[in-house]
Amino acid sequence: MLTPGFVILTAVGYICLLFVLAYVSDWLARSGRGGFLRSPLVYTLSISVYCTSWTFYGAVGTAARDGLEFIAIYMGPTLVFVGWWFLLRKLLRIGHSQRITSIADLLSSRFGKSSFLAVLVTLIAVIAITPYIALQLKAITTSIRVVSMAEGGEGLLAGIGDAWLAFGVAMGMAVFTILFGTRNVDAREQHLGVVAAIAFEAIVKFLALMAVGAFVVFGLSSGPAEIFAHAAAAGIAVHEAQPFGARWATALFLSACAVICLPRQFQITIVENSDENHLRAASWAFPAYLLLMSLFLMPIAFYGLATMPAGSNPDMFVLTLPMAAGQDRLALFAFIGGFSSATSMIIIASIALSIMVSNHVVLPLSLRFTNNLTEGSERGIARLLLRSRRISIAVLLFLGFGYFWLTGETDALAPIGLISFAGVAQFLPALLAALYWRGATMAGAAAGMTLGFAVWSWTLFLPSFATSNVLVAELVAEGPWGIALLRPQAMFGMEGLDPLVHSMFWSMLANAGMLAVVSLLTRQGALERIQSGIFVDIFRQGDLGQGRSFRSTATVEDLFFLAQRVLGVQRARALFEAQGVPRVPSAANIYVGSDFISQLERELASAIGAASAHILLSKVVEGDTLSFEEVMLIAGETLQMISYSNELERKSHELHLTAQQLQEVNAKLYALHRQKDDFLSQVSHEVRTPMTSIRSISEILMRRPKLAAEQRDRFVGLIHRESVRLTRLLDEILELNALENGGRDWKNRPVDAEAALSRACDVCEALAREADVGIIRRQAGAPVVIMGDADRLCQVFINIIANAIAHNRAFQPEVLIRSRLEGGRCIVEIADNGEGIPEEHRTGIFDKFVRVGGDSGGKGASGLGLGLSISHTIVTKMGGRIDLVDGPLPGACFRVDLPACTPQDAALLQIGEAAS
Amino acid sequence: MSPRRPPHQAAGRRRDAAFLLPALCALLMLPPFVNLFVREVLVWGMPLDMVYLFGIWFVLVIGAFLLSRGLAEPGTGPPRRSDEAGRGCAETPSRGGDDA
Repeated sequence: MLTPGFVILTAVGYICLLFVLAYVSDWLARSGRGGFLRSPLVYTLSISVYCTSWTFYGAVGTAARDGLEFIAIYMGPTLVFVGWWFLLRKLLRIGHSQRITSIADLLSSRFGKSSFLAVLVTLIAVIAITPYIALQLKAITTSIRVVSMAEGGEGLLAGIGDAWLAFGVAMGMAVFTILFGTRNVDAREQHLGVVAAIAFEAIVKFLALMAVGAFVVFGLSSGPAEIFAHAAAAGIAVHEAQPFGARWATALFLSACAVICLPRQFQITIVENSDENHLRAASWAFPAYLLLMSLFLMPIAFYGLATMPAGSNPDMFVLTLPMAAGQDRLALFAFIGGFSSATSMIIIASIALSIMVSNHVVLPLSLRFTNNLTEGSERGIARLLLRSRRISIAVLLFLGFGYFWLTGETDALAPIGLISFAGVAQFLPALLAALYWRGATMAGAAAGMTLGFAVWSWTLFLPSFATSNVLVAELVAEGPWGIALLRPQAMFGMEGLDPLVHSMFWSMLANAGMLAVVSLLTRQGALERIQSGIFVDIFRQGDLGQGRSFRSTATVEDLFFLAQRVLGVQRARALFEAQGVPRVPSAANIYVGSDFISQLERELASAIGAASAHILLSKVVEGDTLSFEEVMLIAGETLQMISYSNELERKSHELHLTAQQLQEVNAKLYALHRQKDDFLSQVSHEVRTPMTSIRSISEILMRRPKLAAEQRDRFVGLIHRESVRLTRLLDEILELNALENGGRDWKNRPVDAEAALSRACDVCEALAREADVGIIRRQAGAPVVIMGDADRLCQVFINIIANAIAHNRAFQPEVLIRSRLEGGRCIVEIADNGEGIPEEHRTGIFDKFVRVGGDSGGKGASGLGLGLSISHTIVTKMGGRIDLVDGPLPGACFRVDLPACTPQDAALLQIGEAAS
Repeated sequence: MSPRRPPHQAAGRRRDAAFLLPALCALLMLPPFVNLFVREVLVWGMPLDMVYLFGIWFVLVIGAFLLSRGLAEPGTGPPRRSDEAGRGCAETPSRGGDDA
């Protein structure tokens, strides 16, 4: 009943139906009545493009061969969708805000709108998806043959080999997809008509599989229990033969990756999505769809295994069981179901891939090699895009056919699908890094994907040719040049693993490892850093506008020209009007703000991808860097300026400090200079007085030679006294000078201060007796050892005591000398009961040439005014101090305060004395 | 409404649940645990391992259904509508409102 001609005609009719459906949907949408096309239901149904002919036919085959493994392929996506809040929602938000057109666009946009990365992802995707397309061709070819075999004779298909049949299918599909998917270059790459057709196909394949399942379970037998009992009776193991292991986990992981990373899933889930809320419904509805699709697979497989003759292909049980039961109409329905699952996959996959190829490979290349693309005919870019998309769809299907032809048809369907899954899983590390790791760099992502892809090619893709190619088979068995360590399915001697697990382990390790290490070693560009911030913190930004307030030098005319070339006149006009940018002729040369350019860039990106839009706009707005870089540059300059200004401030502060110090030093120098001047004038004065008297006396002596002898003697005595005084003055000045500037030969050694004081008292005793002054001495009990010079110390004491004696005008003059050891210090106080020192002289009493009372020469040679100054200098040199204090007697009291030595020093003194 | 259970706390709990559900189910269907159910036992005439896996699957779907209604954006109320700019040439881009 089912002749090949009839089957093929049905298929073509079905495709025509789809075409009409897509056309009507597009028309409805354009006329504003396509609301239902944007419903969660259509969205969920279109996501189920995940279920391809691999599900429809292959899953039953897998169930028959490997038991429950097929469930992993649907459980992975279920987990991802149930956890939508964490990954898919973020992807979707980014996709909307950045106008992402494909997974290559997403990765390139995140990593600094890198064209290179977009090309890399596109290449990997094309190669990885090729086996998957081959799988669909294979499924369609096989199903056509199986269905038409029922007649016994092959009729139309008698003389045609599988390869030619597949070629025909591929060509038909190519024509269909080109007509279907590339009618226009939509903004945002949404294909409402296509999505509607895909949703319809989802219903068809669901109903077909359910119908076959229900027929097998409830029509051919009376419920699942009977099927399993029947199978067990026929000697088939209904339970899992082996415990679940690494392969099960790998399949779970792979399918979870695939539902995110497969270009067609990305296209449907992210790009074609029109409302973020639809994901909410899809999060449970899509898993439910998968669950229902899988419900009957096990029973069908076991029923087939138990009833079909040995050697029949389990992949085709969905078709062969109804046919064996004589249900040709059901078989035809099943065939349509399988056909629709294959076509939906081919349509979406090739549309997604062709968008990637045209946006990321063809357009950047032509932009690079031609300068006048934007000056071409109306909508030049759009035409270029359409043409390149059509060609790439044809090429993709041809590649799929090539893979089908090269690998032969010995393999079951499922392993081919898993090869593709493992290929696109190489996007996952970069994708996760793009969403969650701010520090991931373009170089890291590119290196990771390249290496992961290389490992995948070597360990999984290449061995898939082994069944049909002797050379490859040899390579797989022996390794390249006989190097066993590099055998594709036992890298570095890792044997005994399932090839899929083995490949996934090595490729993921290499991929994620390279991504992490290279990212740590390389730096991000300016654009990359901004994009990474936008991607990772997508939920934290209220507004996406970047770089608002400064102007660009692009004119309205330039930009409108570009926009209409890419988006079309209508849409460009709408965009410009909505943004309030005037387009009257007088405004042709008006400059527009960079926020508008950012907006325009996003709009362009929605049609041709971020990297291409960036290049294109940069090209038109020549000499004018785009907003992102501008912002970055300005931000960078500001940062630099701030740091410069900080530096300046610091320097100026330093300078200020230095100036202050300089001022202080200057003041000090000035004071010293003044001191020196004062000193000189004082010295001159001091010297002048005796010199004058000497000169005048000697003149008298010279002029009057006949002077009386008595008078002459008096004059000579005067000259002598004055010259002695002069000598002493000069001696003291020299001494003071030596004390102040010298110090080279000054040496402190342990001395007994008490002994020095006693000596001074002895020296002054004669003086005291002469002046009739009583000296009262109260001394410390024991010797007090200090560090100093005994003779100098004695000099100090003599000086002070002599002063106390000389200046005492009291009726009963007396001097009190007391010494004591107090808190580790040797304190000597010399007090007198004279008039004391007037208040105005107290502060400068230790300065040079300070005399109290003004009776110069009144008492002989006592009043040079240098004694106390010398004493002060000496005591300072010994580490002590000399002060004028209020003493026990009414007159002045000088206190000499010297640090006493420790007992060890005292012992040392005794040793020294003993030695001498 | 009561001060003891502010609404954001309940939302936070739902988000935690939204993470826990897939994580826990993944754990239940991965090797060490799932192999507890690989036995020669029939449940309603069907193999235990198959029934177990479908059971988890069913729980996942029901859980996702219940959670999908409660999850809300932190702070911003209902998730914002995506822009309509992609509808077609005649449509006005939604950013037009920015000028106001």
